[in-house]
Amino acid sequence: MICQVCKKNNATIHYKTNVNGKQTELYLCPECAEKNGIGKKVSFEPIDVIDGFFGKSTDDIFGGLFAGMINDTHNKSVGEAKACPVCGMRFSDFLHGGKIGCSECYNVFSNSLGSTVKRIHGNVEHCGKVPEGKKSAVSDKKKIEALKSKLNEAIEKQEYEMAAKYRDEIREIENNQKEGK
Amino acid sequence: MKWYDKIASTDYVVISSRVRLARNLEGVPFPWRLDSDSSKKAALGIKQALENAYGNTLVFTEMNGKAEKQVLVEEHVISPDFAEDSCVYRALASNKENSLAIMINEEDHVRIQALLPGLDLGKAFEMANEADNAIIKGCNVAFDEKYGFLTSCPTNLGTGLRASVMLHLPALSVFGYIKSIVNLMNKIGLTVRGIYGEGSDARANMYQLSNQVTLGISEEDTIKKLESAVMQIVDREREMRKKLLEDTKNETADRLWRSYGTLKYARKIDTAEASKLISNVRLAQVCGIIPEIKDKNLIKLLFEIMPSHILSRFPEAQDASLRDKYRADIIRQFLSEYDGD
Ligand SMILES: [Zn+2]
Ligand SMILES: [Zn+2]
Repeated sequence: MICQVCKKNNATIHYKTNVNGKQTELYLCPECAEKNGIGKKVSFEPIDVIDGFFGKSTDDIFGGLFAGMINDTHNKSVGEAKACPVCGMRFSDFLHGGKIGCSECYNVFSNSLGSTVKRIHGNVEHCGKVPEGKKSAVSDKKKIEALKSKLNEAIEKQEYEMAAKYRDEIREIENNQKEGK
Repeated sequence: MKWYDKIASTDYVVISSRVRLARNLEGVPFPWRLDSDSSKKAALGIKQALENAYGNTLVFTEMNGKAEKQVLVEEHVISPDFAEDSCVYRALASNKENSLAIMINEEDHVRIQALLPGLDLGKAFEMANEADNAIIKGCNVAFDEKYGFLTSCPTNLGTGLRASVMLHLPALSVFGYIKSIVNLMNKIGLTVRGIYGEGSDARANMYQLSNQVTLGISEEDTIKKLESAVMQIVDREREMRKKLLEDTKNETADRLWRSYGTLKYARKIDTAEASKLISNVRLAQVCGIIPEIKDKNLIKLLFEIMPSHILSRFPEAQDASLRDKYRADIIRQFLSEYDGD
């Protein structure tokens, strides 16, 4: 491979840039690499993205994901062939495109998607905002548990103002629950 | 008035803070599975919900066929994907400064973005959350107890929250520390990326730090975690700026003054070179090598020299080579009142 900059010397350095998701590869000789500030201690040239510089790109995540998923599907040999009644998507469409068809798909393909979600996020459940009107007793319970642990933490740290705030929040949730019934 | 008008020209390492929330309507196929009519219907429902809450303080713009979409991309108001032509009906709801911008029918039905100058993630979240509440009130938002807000791509499940800050890291870049920062941040669940816009932001040593994980972590904790990482990077950058002056003062001064000289006298300059040199001049000002230009915002200049910005000011500049000339003119004019040398 010949250096893409000077088009003379042998390229020994493989330089990858990933800007805005556009990947560019460059093969450089050591001289041109140095001229462009690669491998120098102090360089005023922009440090472009070096191998994996910007971390995992979405493609990487999905590359790994799909590989795993396809195996899963084969292993289970169930292969969810049914289509979503709302959007018409089949699970194989997701395997191709990486995008879900609609909110109902999460129910329809819950088995297969469950392992996908675990692979991305780990074995965790949502904790955070719950929209008004979707709040159920279960999520209240979760919230109260979280607040109680924060309350104890605050008491331990002697942050009594914060503790009082958490206590009030717990009471408010409990009162709302009673009113709701 | 643009969202970046108020960016401080002084030694701030953090250029801007952004919070994005992804939301979808329950029982309606996600935008990529909608046709023109059904996507318009979904969009109008969302529009109504926003109007109920915001009245006429939000402006609605149909994106299909709209001119100068790339200007909005360059200003980070909309995503490059959203600017692309599509048979899906797309609209943008935004306030006057575009600091609140709601993309309707992007990858998800709703993408709420709050974008503020400086480090202000709390305020940005508040703004986005308010818009979210308006949509929740007026629409049936898809939500699952276990998975949180349901999104078109499972990587956004949970809070649907992507919080990010744009950082100017010229000194860390000079010393070659960016790569190790990227690795370190990856380990704690944060991503460092260059920012869209012809790659010129990365050339200007601008990096975006954002959270990777959205499920199993609350909004509050996501933001706290990001903020504390930002503070550490800011400290390192400041340290390196000092070190740059102590260890390599002459070389640094020479390189930065040369950058200034090129900007001041160039008659043609492309976006990448100009961005890099402006970044150097900003570093020079921060280090006290070049006195600060009063009331002149170099970050604003970075936006104004982008191709679509020049094109919108000088429609005849269809040719990149002609734009390079206009770009040099804009920069020279910007620097003309300046007599620091
Ligand atoms: Zn070469
Ligand atoms: Zn579906």
